[in-house]
Amino acid sequence: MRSTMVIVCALGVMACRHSRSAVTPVRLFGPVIGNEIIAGRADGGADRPVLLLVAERDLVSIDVEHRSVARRSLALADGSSCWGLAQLSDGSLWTIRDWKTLREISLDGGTLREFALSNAHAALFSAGDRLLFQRAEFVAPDQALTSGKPGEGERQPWSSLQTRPFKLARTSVAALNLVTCGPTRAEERACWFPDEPAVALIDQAGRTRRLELAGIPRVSPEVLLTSDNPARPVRDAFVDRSGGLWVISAGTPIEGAGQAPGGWLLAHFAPTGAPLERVDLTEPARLILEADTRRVLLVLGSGYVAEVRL
Amino acid sequence: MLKKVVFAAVVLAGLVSAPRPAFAQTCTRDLLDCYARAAREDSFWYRWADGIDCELQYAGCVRRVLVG
Repeated sequence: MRSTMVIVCALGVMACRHSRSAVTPVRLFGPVIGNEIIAGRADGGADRPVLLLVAERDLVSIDVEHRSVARRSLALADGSSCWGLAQLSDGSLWTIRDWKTLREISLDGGTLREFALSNAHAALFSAGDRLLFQRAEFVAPDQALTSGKPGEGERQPWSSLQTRPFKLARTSVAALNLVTCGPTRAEERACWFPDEPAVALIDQAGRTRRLELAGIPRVSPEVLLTSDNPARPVRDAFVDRSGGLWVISAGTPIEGAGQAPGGWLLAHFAPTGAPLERVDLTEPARLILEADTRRVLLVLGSGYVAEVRL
Repeated sequence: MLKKVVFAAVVLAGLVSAPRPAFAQTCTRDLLDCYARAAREDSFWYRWADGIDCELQYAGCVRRVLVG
């Protein structure tokens, strides 16, 4: 009898420990995407729909206010694909087709115009009226991002972010230097490399400062390059109106979790980098759509748009 | 260039053969297969061009895993 009570108490303590630390995101609508690659994201501000490039050939528009989603296919030949999505201040929407072609697309997925690029490009973002490019470069160190207007050959270095050398094959160096930039509601936006628990906060003029993310573990290059679903230190990073940084990180999956993609940890940092809040999620999340000090809107690994109240 | 390709293949072969958790390592395997196909080209320039294509294919594959 006594041993039974001990076991019951122990189970109760374990259950309490779990429920205290984990937050369950409340699903609002969806699913807006499936278990598929998110190849780009354009975020024109809090009052505009969030646009995603999904599966390298579909444009998904998520209207959080009206809780609606629309999906349209890009005009692509068989075997073609697009990567990166950038919206300029004039509302124009851009992507890169097959590494070497810059394409302007309409909201219904149509092609408006194309420009040939002289090199292969790995990523595309935007800052105001300029596109931000990352070349598919296999030699480091080098300028990570350059900026330019569509169709203009001349590019300016954007930010002091540099690619990093590794004592690895050049293909691995290129992979470890892939840059991702998240959305912002303030002056600065966060850009990061896949292996680092750190972000570069970059303003529109390209001024850059580095923020180490305390409490988020680094992932070794070897693990990143040999995993099909690696633990990413930063999966998404969102800068809110006050300049605070919200990060989805790999975290620790709950027991019995399936194969849904995403990170299990949501962390909040002050503009100085000081850790403010850290919650484990009961469902993995892939993207942060909106955030302030009271609530965060997420796209979950299940594809649903969900809310976390803090 | 050929030396670099062979060197990269050897380094990656080492990565693949080292004991790791049970991950599929699909991108690395695809790269090795691609290098092997490129190495069978008779012309140096075709080998070189195919090697570059292999690198881009690998970058695209890893990008899906690390970013997508």
